[in-house]
Amino acid sequence: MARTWAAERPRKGLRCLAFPSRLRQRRGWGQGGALEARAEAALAKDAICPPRLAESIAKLYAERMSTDVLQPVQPPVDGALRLCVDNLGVLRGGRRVLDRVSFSLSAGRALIVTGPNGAGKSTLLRALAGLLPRAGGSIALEGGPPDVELPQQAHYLAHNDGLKSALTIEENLDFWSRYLAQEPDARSHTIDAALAIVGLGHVAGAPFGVLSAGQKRRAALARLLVAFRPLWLLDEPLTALDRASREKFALAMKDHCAHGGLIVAATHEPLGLDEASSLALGGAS
Amino acid sequence: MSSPLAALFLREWRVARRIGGSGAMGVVFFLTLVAIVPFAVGPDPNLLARIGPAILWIAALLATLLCLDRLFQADAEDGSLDLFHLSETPLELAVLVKCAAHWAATGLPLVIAAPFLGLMLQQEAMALLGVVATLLVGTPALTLIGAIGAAATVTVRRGGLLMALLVLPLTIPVLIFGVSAAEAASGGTVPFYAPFAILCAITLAALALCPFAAAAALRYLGE
Repeated sequence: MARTWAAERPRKGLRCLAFPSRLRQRRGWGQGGALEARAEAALAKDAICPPRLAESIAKLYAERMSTDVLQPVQPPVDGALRLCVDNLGVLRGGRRVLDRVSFSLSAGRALIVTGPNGAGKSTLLRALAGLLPRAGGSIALEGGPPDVELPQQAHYLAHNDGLKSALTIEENLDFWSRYLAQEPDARSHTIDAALAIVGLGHVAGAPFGVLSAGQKRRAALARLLVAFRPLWLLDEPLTALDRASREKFALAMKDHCAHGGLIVAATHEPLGLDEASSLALGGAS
Repeated sequence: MSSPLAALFLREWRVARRIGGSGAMGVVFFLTLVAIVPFAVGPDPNLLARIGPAILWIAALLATLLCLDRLFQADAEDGSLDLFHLSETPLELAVLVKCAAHWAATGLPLVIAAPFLGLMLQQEAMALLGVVATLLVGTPALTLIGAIGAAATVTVRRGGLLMALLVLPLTIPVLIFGVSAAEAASGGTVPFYAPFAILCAITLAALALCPFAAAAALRYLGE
């Protein structure tokens, strides 16, 4: 696979035509709604020129965004979710990194966690994802299906991308979409659509390991799109992204919120979300 | 097999095939070990025929260990391990499937190569059959026991040696019954089925217990 891709590289514009029809058939274009159908039309039309394709997809996406955001959003299927964190404390290496952190976040909202290095931003996200034990307090996602635990409703994106260098981007995303979304959800994007949204459609068949840092990050962001989970836990999601990619990802985040999702992001940089609340963690001791 | 586990198996299999190394490297290491033994003990055919099954078993054990250290470490480094914790699929099942894929990519080639290497050690047909049968049943136990060591050393840089130290003592029962069944196959005082049945029992016990132990180690170290 790696070698064939390298051989094809000079005419990479044609790569778009080679979107595996097998995948498209199996996963079913159009199950996510009109966007995919239009994206497919755009693919057919613009396949020769990947940059223009990416732009047109982003434009399509922006159009849909503006209509969705302006119109009242339909209530999500599984009721309004609400993330409640009460008096959370976390110990790391015997030191109390987080102490009495409380906040609540309702569906469709984003929370930006700020604070100096060592303030516990990553620790907070890992604790929310259930990867660190709590030393007190409680974390609950209210309003979701009762038999599903919080970590299983969350996407966690940290400094590592969680993708294998030896596999192609498509194979990586196909694995995570099947492993993380066990019940099909209409809000999940197809792999082709997710790659188009982050602007990686033209390198879908390339091994993950040969991508640049920014492209790797975009592939990792596409993982959030292929398997719908309501809560996104993002640790410095914008690392290595250029401005156009940041804008695209901001659109994707807005779209996620509009579909009843919640976002908790730790970052030093503005995410491009207008209506985000913020949580400042105390200074390092 | 449900879809997430099938997807995991496919992913592990592809990674093992593409990164290269593990499967082919294990077989080459196996071949090398078996090939140097006659230089050490001398080329006497009777002696080689007598100790052949033991040599094949020791070589298979070391070749299995050689390939095991990256079983969980690669996932820990690229962040996949954190994401396994977030899935509906229990970590124990993920460990089991990873072991199955790992065995298919590295253990099975050893079993297939064993009869050809056995010919170099002057083994008769029945002895070859015995070695292949015992390795087929016994190497999954080696992989599963090794998975505990791989999970326990997942955060240790260059933990391969430490893992071997942890795992080798635990594999002694497998070695004892594997070798005695293999030797019994070509005649001797011990019947073949007694040690072979115990070897099967050890593998089944490893199948039932090791995924839990390895997953517990991964959970504890993940914190």
